[in-house]
Amino acid sequence: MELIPWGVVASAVSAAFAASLVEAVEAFTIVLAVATLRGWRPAVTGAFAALGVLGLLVVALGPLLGRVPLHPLQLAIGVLLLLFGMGWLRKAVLRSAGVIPLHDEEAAFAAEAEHLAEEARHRHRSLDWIAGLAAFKAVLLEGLEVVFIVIAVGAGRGLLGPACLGALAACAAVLAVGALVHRPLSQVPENAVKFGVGVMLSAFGVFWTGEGVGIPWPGQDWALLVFAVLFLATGLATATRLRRPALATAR
Amino acid sequence: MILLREIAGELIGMFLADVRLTTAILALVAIVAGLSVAPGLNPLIAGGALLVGCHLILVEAAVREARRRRPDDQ
Repeated sequence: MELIPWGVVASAVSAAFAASLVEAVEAFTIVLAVATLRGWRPAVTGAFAALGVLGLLVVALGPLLGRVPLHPLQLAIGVLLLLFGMGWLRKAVLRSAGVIPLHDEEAAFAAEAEHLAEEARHRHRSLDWIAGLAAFKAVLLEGLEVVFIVIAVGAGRGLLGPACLGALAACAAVLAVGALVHRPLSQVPENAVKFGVGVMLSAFGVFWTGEGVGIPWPGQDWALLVFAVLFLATGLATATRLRRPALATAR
Repeated sequence: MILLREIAGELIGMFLADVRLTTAILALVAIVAGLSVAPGLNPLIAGGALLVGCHLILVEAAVREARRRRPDDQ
């Protein structure tokens, strides 16, 4: 059995953990808004129904991935990771530079609460169903990204189990803290976490894509960490460059 | 039906948030795939092209979006 370097295992687990943390915080905000307005029953029912759908997706996709030859699988996942990871990193760089506003959990909570209150004014029947559907949708849409990331960082090297554990640990942490504070988790440094996840996903994307087309990376799996450092440096340098307010006046 | 449309929109948005970024990455991967099977060429050159290309695409996408949102920067 091939021994996977601890650095690669740690990268996969931490990428899955951090990505899930961000998505779980966003989903929790909506579920909390639903619970605050309509009670925990529709919120929990909607959330668990979505988790069931996501679980079915993983159970259905897992065995299928095992049948795909390794190199085409690495290439497909690598390209998808590049598209997804570099998209995240680009957005995190722009947020870090102040070009686009940071994601605000308090504002998201208020917007969802307002949306549900509006629904309540117009549709007096089956409001619990609408609230449950809102929770279902939030958990399903955010969860889809988590499922993709777990499969993408785990499937190429047989690390699906550890990546799943990382994702579950993040969800458990968000639920535990959320249950304690009972308000949107706006203190989580979401953009810094997204920055880190974008860096890791982009690094995995370059690594898998290269392996998929038969590039023998120097240092083998350790090259992944070098790629991550390079993406981090490029991302930070770009954000710093774009942050300069004197850019226009200097010209 | 609306939910399915939203799910489809979310899935598309995951990979196609910036069409130029997506197009550039796919074009780069196609070039790298070609280089990796080119006779007499060290595959590491294809690897280097992939790595450098991704960084250039990332910087270009961020700078382009910043200039679009802050036209004064041009």
